[in-house]
Amino acid sequence: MSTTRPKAPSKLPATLGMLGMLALLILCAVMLERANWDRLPGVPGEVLGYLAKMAEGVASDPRAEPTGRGVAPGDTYGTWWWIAFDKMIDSIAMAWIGTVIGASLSFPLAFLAANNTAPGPLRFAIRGLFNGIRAIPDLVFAILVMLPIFGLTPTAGAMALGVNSIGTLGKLTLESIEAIDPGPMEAVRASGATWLQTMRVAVVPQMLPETMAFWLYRFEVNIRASAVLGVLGAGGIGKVLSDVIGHRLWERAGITLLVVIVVTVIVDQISASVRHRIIHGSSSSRRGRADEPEPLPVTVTA
Amino acid sequence: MSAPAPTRTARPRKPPPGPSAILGVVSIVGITIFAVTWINFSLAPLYTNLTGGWVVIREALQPDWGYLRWWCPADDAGCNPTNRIRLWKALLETFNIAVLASMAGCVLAMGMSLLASSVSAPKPVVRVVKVFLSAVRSLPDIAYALIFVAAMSPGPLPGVLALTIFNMGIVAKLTSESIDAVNPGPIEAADAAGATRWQRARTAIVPQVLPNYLSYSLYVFELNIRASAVIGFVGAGGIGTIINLEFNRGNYDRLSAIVIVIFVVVVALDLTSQTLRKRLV
Amino acid sequence: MTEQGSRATAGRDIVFDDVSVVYPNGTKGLIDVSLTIPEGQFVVVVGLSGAGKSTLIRSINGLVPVTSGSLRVGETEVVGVGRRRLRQVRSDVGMIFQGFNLVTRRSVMKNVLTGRLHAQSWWAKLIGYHPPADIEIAFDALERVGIVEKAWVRASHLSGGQQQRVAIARALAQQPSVVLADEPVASLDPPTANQVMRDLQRINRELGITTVVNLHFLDLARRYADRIIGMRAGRVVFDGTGEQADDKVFEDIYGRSLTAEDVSATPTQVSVAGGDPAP
Repeated sequence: MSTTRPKAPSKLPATLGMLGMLALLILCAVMLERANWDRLPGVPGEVLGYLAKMAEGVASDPRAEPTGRGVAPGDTYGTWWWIAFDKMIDSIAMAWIGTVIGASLSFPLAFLAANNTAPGPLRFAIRGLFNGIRAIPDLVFAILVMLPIFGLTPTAGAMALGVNSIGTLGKLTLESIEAIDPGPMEAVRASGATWLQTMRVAVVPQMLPETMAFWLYRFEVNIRASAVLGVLGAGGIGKVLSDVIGHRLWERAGITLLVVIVVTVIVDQISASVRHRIIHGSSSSRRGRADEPEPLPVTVTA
Repeated sequence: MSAPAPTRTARPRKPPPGPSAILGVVSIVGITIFAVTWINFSLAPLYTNLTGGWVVIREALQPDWGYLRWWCPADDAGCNPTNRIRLWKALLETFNIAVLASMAGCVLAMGMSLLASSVSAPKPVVRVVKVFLSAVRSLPDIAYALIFVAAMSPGPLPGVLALTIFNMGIVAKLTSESIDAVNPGPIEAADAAGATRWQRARTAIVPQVLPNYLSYSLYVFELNIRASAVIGFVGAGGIGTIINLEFNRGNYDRLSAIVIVIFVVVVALDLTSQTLRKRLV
Repeated sequence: MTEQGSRATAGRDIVFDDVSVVYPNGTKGLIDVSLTIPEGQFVVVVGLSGAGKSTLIRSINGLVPVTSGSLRVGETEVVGVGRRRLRQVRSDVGMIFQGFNLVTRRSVMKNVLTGRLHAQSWWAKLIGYHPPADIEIAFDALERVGIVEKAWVRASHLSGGQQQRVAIARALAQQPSVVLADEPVASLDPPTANQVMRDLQRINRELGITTVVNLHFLDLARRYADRIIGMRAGRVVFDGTGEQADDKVFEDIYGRSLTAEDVSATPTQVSVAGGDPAP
C-alpha cells in the first residue's frame, strides 16, 4: 500500500556549515600562535586553587590582621572590605553621572533625529553621530579625550561613560520615539501647537516610560564599564581590582570581587524592579518589549 | 446669547502628583548630588586644562598613517619588518580570540540556559543556576581578564578564557529568557509521547530558540571585538596590547590611527553580523 | 502498519476507579470519576469549558497528576508511578492537541519522529538519531493521514488542517494502543473539522486503537462517537450512546437550553471557529 516517499532534502548545507564552523575554530586556535594551549588542561585546577584562597580571605575574621605580602601596616581584613566598598561606591557614582550626562544629552538629540519628529535635515547628522559613538569603545574616549583633559580622576571616567552613553541611548530613544502612535501628534498639531508643544504634549508622554527604562538599563551597563575605566586610571573599583589581582593578593581579591558581585547584583535588582514599575506600573508597554528594554548590554546594535 | 449659561458646578481639584513620581524625582536629584560630591566631579578642567588636553587631542587629530604600513619603505634603512607587522598580527589575534571565546562561551551557554529555565529544568536547579549566572554577569570582562592573566601568564589564552566566561553569562541569560518564552505546546506533545528531559530539550525546546540563540552568539562576537581592545590592556592579548604600549609611550598620533582601524573593523563586522542576524530571526 | 494489529491484545481497557484530581490552586478538576473504556472504543467527551474534559483526558497519560483513586491503562497503573514508568505509559498513548503543538520551524518528518522518541536507544538519544525503520514508520503514519508528500516541508508552511494531520501522524508514529485528542478540531473550520474527525474514526476502525476525544460541538459528537461521556463540574453526568444523547441530555450537561453554537459548527460559525462556543 505504500506510496512513493518524497526524498529527504540534502543535508549538505547543514553539514558544510558545521564543518565550516569547526574549520574556523581550528584555524583560529592554530593562528593564536602566542597561546600556550598546553597550559589549558591545568587551568581548572589552578583556578579552583585561587578560588579557595579567595574564599579564605572572605571567610577570615574582619578584625584579624592578614599576613604575607602586600599588607600595609595596621591593615585588617575589615580595612580591605571597607576599601572595596568605598571604591565600589566611587564606581557607581561614576556610572550614575555618566548615565545622567548621556541621558540628558541624548534625549533632546533623539527628537531632532527621529523620522517622525525631526524638524529638519539635521537628523542624518545626528544619526551619524549616534552610530559613530556606538562603534568606538568607551576606553577610546577615555584615553584620547578625557584623561588628557581631566587627568587620572573619576571625572574623566564619568565623562567618558557619558559621551559613550549618548550613542546607545540616542539610538534607543529615537527608536521609541518612532514607535509612538502618530494619532495624538496629529491632533495636537491640528490644534495649532508649536513643534516644542507637540513634543511635550503628544510625544514625550508616550515614550518617556520606555526611555527611562533604557536609562536605568544603561546605568547597569555603565557600572560594569566603569570598572574598565578604573583599570586605565580613572579610579574606583577597577583600580583596586587591577592592583590586587595584578599583585596576586588572592585573599584580598576574593574580598574585593565579592563586594563587586554583591553590590552590582543589588543595584541590578533595584534597577530592574524600578524598570518593571515604570513600564508596567504607570503605563502599559506598547510593544512586547516589557521590562527588558534592550536585552543586550554594552552595544552597537540593538 | 439666549441660551442660559449652565449652572457652574464645583471644579474637582487637580490631584497631587503620586508619591512614586515625587520619590523618583527626589531620588534622581539626590543621587546625582551625592555622586557629584562623592567623586568631586567637576567640569572646571574643561576651561583650566583645555590647553593641556588640547595638545593630546591635536596630536590625535593627525593620525600617523605611516604606522599602519605593514611593509618597510625602501628609503627607510632603520625600519624593522617585525615591528611593522606587529599591529596587524595583534588585530588578527583579536579576531581569533573573539571567535574562540564566542564559540566556547556559547556552547557552555546553551547548557547553562537549559538549566536556568523552569521550562527545561527542575525548580531548585533553576534557582541555583540563576544566582550563579547573575554573579557571573555582575563582573565586567576586565575582571576575568585580570584573574586569568594573574593565574596563568600574559598572552591570548587568558583573554580567550576571560571572554568565554563573560560571553557565557550574557548568552545564557538571554537564551534562558527565550526558553521561558517558548511555545509550551510542543513540549507538552513531547511529554505526551514519552520523551525524556533530554529528548524534550532536543526536539521541542532547542529548535524553537535556535534562531535567537544564534543571533545572541553573533551579538557577543561583536562585543568581543570591542572587548579585546580592553582586555589587552591588562595583558590578555589582542589589539589592546598595542594600544597599551602606545598609550604608555604617549604616541597619540599612532593611537588615533589604531582607533580608526578598530572603528573600520568593528563597523564592517557589525554590518556583516547584523545582516546575518536579520536573516536568522 | 501490520504490527499495530498484532499488538492488539486483550486487557487494554482504560479503567478509572474513583479518580479525583485537585489542582495545586485548590480547583477540583475531577471528582470521583469511575469509568471503563474498553479497548477499541471511540469515545467522545462533551461538556462546558472547565467541566473537566481536558483533565479527564490528561489524567490518562499522566500529564495531569491524579490526586486520589486508581487509573489503569491496560495492565499499568498510572497513579503515583515514577517518571520512567510514566514514560512507558505515555509511549503507548498517542495525544493530539487543539493547538497542534508542532515545532513549526522543523520539518513535518522531524515532528512526526517525535512519536518515535520513546524507541530511541541511549546513544541515539544523545545524538538525536532515528534509524531508517523509524522513518518508515513515520512515513506510514503520514500515509494514513494522506500527506506523505509534505514530509520534508517545514511545518509552518502547512495549513491548520494539514498541521493537525501531522499531529495525528505524530501520535500514530508512537504505534499506540490509545489515542487521546483534546479539542482536536476547535481551531479548524467546519469542513476541515469533519475531515479530521473522519481521519480519527478511520484510524480507530482500521487499527483498533482506543480513541478518546474532547469536543465542543454536539453534532460532531453524535456523528462519530460510539459512546458519549458528558461532564459537568468535574463529574460524569451522562454516559451512553449517540442515540441516547438527545437534546434533553445535552441541556442537562450544559446546564441550560442549547443555542445554535452549542449544536454544530455550521458555516455561519466559520468566522468564529476556534473561538469558544461555551459562554
